[in-house]
Amino acid sequence: MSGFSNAYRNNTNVNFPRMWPRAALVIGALLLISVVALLVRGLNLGIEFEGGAAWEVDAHGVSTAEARDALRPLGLADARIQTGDDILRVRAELDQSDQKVDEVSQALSDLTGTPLDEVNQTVVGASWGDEITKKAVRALIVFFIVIAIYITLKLEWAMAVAALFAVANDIVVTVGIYALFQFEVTSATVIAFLTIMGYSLYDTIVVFDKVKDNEGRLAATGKLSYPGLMNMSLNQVLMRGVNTTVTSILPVLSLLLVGSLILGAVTLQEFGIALLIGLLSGALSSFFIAAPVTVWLKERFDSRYAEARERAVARAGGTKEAREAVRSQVSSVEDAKAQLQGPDADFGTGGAPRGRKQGKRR
Amino acid sequence: MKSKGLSSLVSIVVIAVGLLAATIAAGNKPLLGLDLKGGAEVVLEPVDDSGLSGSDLDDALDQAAEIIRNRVDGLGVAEPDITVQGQRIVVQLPGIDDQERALEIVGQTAELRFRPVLDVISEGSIEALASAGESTDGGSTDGGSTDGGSTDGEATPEPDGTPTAEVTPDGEATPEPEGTPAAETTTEPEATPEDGATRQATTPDAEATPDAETPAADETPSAEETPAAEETPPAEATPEDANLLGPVGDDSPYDGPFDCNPNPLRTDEMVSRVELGEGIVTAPADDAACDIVILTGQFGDETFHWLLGPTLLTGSSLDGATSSFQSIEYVVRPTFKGGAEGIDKFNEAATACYNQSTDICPSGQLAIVLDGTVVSAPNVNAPVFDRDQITISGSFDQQEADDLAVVLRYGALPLRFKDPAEGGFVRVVSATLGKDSLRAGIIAGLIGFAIVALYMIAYYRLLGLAAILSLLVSGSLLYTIVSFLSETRGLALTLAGVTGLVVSVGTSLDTNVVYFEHLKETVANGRTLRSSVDRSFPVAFRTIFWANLASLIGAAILYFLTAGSVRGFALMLGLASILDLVATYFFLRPVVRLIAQRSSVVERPGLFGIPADLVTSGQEVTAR
Repeated sequence: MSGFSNAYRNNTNVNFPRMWPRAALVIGALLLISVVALLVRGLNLGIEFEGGAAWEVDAHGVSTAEARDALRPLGLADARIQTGDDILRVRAELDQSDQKVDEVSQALSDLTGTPLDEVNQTVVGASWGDEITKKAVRALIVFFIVIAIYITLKLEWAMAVAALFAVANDIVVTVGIYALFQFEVTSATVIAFLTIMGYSLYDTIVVFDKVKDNEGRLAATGKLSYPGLMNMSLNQVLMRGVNTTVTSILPVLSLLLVGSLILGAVTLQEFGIALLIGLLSGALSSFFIAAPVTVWLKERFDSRYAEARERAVARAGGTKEAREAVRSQVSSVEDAKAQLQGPDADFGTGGAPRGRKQGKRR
Repeated sequence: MKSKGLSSLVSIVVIAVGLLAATIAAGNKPLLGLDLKGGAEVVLEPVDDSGLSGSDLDDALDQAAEIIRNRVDGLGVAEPDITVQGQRIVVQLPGIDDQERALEIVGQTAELRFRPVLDVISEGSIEALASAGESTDGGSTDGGSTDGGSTDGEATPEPDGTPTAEVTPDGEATPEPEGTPAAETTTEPEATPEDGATRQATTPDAEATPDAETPAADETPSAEETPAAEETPPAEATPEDANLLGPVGDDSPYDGPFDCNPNPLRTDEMVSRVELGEGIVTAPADDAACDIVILTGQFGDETFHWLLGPTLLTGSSLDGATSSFQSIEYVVRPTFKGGAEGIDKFNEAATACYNQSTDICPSGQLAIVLDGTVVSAPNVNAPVFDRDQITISGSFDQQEADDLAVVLRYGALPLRFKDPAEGGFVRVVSATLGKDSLRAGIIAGLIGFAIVALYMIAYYRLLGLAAILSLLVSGSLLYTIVSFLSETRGLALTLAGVTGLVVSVGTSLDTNVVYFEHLKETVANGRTLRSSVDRSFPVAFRTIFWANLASLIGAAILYFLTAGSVRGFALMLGLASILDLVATYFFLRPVVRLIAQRSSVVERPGLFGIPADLVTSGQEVTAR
């Protein structure tokens, strides 16, 4: 059967553990790029964070050079001037001089022929952004602590740690891309970051809930290794993850598309880019960060699974190669399912499965 | 079981449709934030020198916001939104598209003016006049005043005399529990009853007496002539006429031109008309521009009108003020700056009032006017004061004394705020760009919704359709709630909120996806479609519940710990999470169950997006 057909039947048999090492390389590389971009290029902080004055006006074909000439008499020849989508944007380090702010508005209005009352202007004090940042950071810390406690209580601590790892990764990658491409960070961006965090966390919890559910029924057998359990669970929620990601990303794509077609909807575009990256990262991080981190933690700190693993290695010969083999070798999902669910398996209630069959490799 | 599901289905549809219809019928709709409709936003941040913290600071912020709100309302800005967010005050002024004007409106300093009282016109007297003839004397009016007596007691607009207080040099405060204007003057030996009587005969109560023996009753509209009065000559009088009219109420304390009225009526006529409830009151905004004004003040439940003379000094002469408890009551102690611009100016005014100078301050009262509203009008009980030895008393309770001290100390606001251009935030959004953003957001939302709907239906067939309907149910509930909050709490939908909603279209479908995938899996495991439908829901719902709870916790944290647009986003996120659960439980579950009842569907699982062979392959597992 074709891949789609299998996927449509929820009959996937992807060996995720085998993909984890390679995924780790890719993720590591992305993180490295993000961190380097952040350190080297820094974030292009919007006016809300840095203070100053900004204007936005319909350009009506006026070029940046013309705008610069027009602003020179006001002593603002070095202002940051951009055009895009026929919108002229000017940003300057003006602070309290209200007089000048209005003069610039007037000058831009004269230059572009846009009525004065259609010139957007923003003046932000320098200390404003500090306060926003401080608040956001505080909210983030509280958020992480509360969510960690929540997942620990609801699921388990290893999953809490893993979920936060995944969320942190998503944020770092998104922020890194902002640094790399020097997108402007505005308060809309901050909201996009928060959306991503929420989505990533939500996605991870759905995956982990499945793992926990399967583990509950598996505990009685003590046969399946934790990676095997995780792999089976991941396959079970794979199509759900794909579909959810598709339904989440489609509106964002439409946001991007419409934002680029309709003038003046720059905020939508910025928001769209951040969300697109973040949603993709959030969906992938559940499978390629949260899952392996949980497995790693469980095999190290949960004696049951550590022993199961050692037994498997021993059975395979106890050599280094055997260890490698065990790591990448997971019983097929078919086997795992057969092991876990008999024909009458009660998937809904978590009751003990009946009609279990022994897996071939165990 | 079946009927239970059905009833919940019917109820939620009825509720959702009903609420949506009611919302639309009532004309409720979400308020648009400034970034969507244009206007100015000013954020004020307090200077850290107040020494206030915790709930004191919160109180001060609330108080400041209230004062700013009153000021903005007084200036007639449409739908202003003034909120305290964290430790900031956010002032949104829709339709104001010029920064300087916005800053002017919010203003760093309120206008505090000291004006001499020329005449007191109480609301009570208007009532008395209105009910003339029918002797059904409003309880608020002093019974004695209606008989036109001119005994000094009746001069009081209100028996308990709240509108007036007195200014005394320190230590000389003679608390007057009654605090009536007349009673206060009696603390001065010179204010003989006769003096008082003649002057007080000019007070509104006396004038307003129904059987008005006002000398010029033919020109001054009497109560009986009220309707006609509106078209009668006084309104047409030219300036010259006004001057030629001669003294009408020769007992009036002031009969010069009333310079702040479009119709150049004489002042006593103005007073009469105010008494008639014709609302000729100087707009608070004109306070600064006019010499002679009629301003109002609220004392207790009563609104009083005051005829006030030219400004004698402003708040800039003041250095500070405190409130304290002194012997038997609360008093306010203002401190003036030294020198010509400070205490000297005040003393000049005090002397005029103390002497009840006919030209300047006939009533002996000096009104304290804040932004065009009279906050107090104490009598002056000494001609000369030391700059820090002044007491204002007037049977204040603690709150009143504190409020008055705040007004004197800060001009208006209980906190000092940084210059918005330095420590805050000023933004002007043009209405055109705002509309563009809104349009883009709506179009993007609709397109996104359409594509997602197609995808869901293509993948899950009937289930996909059910999911889209479920989304519509939660959407209409969300619209209702947002509209309701807009109407009652001033919640405004910002661009961030709109985009948040666009995104939530996708994520809220996840609930359905989790359920449908689980359903498919259960069917694949060999269960019948019908039993799978019942068995899958609780498991899938539990997963969704815990995941949504995490979102909700996140939203709550963001809501309480941040400010501004992030807060609006958090609210939307939280609402969407809750409604998602509601719609799934009360709509999706019964709908899916209902569809699964139909045998045509059971025979063709493809309608559920479940390949027919999956059912068989499930049986293969059994066979294996």
